[in-house]
Amino acid sequence: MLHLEWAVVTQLDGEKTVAEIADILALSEEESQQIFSKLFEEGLLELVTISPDYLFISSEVLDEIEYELKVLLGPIASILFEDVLNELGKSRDKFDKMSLPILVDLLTTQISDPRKQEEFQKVSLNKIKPYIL
Amino acid sequence: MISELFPDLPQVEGVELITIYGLDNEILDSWSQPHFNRQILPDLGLNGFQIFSLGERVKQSLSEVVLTHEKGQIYYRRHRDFMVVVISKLKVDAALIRLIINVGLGEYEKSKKIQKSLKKMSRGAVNFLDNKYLDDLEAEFLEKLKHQSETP
Repeated sequence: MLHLEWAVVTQLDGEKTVAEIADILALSEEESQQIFSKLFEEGLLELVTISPDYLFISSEVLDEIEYELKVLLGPIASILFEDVLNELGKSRDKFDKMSLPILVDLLTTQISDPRKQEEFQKVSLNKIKPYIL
Repeated sequence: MISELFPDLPQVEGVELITIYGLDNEILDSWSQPHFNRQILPDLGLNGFQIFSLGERVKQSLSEVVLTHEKGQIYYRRHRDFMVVVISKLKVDAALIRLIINVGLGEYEKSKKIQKSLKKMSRGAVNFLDNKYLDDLEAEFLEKLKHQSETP
């Protein structure tokens, strides 16, 4: 087991999750539990608190997406945008970047014209790419 | 084709395989992570075409199917000229795959060049629910399905 423990230690970088490391090293669930528990108990690893900046995006990004929707749909876009935020159970000031694709997906369903849908998705993808890729 | 239509897809962390199939299940283009076993590609495509054909059989016109399993997910997207399959880890949001592919399909519709080169490569649609593509159990299942749909 010692070589596996060492392999895990070499993967610890403050960013990878337990699942990601287990995947990289092809560890079984049992092996993962044993190794991580042991390393934790021995004080060789600790949990990292993720900064909110890492998880959430600024409301400006949402404003930009809303603007693109307004260009296509007019003033009603703001109401539709809020409806979708409520549907997702999210707020503008604490919107996690991983929900950006589903936001664009749901906003797209609010657009009936296929060409406008395409346009909106293209522009939105370019806007959200820096945060999700 | 992948680099022209879906350049962002290989950059999504967790995406392991992207394949574009002609309607005859020929592989038109493919990209994968180095560790990926590409021997499954023909079966992967065949299964995708069969799922969509079965959907038509039961009067469900599907264009997208996502199959999740304990190690990840398989995303199938049908277009009138080809099929795209993406294999990824579970952490990849299907909505992101859909978005990137939607944008790519929009580019495809605008690009006569890509449409032309695809036309040269592709050999036309095949009926993958024909008995020659099915094992005994699958053939029996389809027969039952046919009788059920015919029974008032």
